[in-house]
Amino acid sequence: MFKDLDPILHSQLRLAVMSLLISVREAEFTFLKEKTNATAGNLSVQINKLKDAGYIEVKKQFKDNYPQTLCSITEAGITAFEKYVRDLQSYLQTGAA
Amino acid sequence: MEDKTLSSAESLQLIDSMINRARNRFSENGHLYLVWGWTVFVIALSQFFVISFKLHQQPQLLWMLTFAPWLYMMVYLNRQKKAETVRTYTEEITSYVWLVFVVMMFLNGFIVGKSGFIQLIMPLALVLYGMPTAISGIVLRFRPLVLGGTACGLLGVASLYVSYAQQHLLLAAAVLVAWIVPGYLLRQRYNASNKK
Repeated sequence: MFKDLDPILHSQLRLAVMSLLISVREAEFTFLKEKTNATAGNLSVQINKLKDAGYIEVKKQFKDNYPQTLCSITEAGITAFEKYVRDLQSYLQTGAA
Repeated sequence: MEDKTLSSAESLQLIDSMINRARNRFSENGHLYLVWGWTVFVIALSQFFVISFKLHQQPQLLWMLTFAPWLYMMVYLNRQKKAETVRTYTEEITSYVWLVFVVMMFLNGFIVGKSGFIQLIMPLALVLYGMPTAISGIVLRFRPLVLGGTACGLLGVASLYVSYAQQHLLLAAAVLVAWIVPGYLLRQRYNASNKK
């Protein structure tokens, strides 16, 4: 049961990032950092893990001569997130029964 | 926040809190509704007087005054785009709806101008005003805009039964209920949600 939960999503910061990104079209790294209260280094590592899993897309570009990192959730990310929530719900139901 | 694993209850709580943090952000401050609302309101009333008292042969030239708000809007939107760190689905939908509206308004003007049925320009413009206003209201879940959009449609039908000069009074009434009043209410809601 618990071991079936997606290990990529079953971590506090990665789950927070995915929950933020599922609600918006795209978000800047600074927005994710502000909302999660994470350090830039840790957030960067977790974003890369989500990107490597194919759950999010990361676009790096320049805005007013400053580097800008834009993140958005992918179709695979949405599917994984929905499955994670379903798994959590069934786990809780089993636990409650 | 650290990279720790969570219990299932903690996970659900975290998802809920993060989704709320992203969703509770209300970015529509009503500023452009007010800029365009007052611009069109003043022009429509001026046109009514110019036509009624035959003050000028070409009252439509008053629309040239929209050049300044256009310029201002470009600068304002550009600044806003630079400042934003997140783009929601709501913002994306509403911005495209208004973009399509602008294109449709130009096409409306062109088609009616070519057809020679100039008296139809106001009814069609009013109906068109209603469309993006109502859609924005539905997407933003903001009832005054939905009501304003509906009122535009009704005023569009009503404008078929009044004189060309009086149609401009209906236009002024339409922007008052569809843009100016909702604009102030949006500003109020924006200020209240940003105070929290």
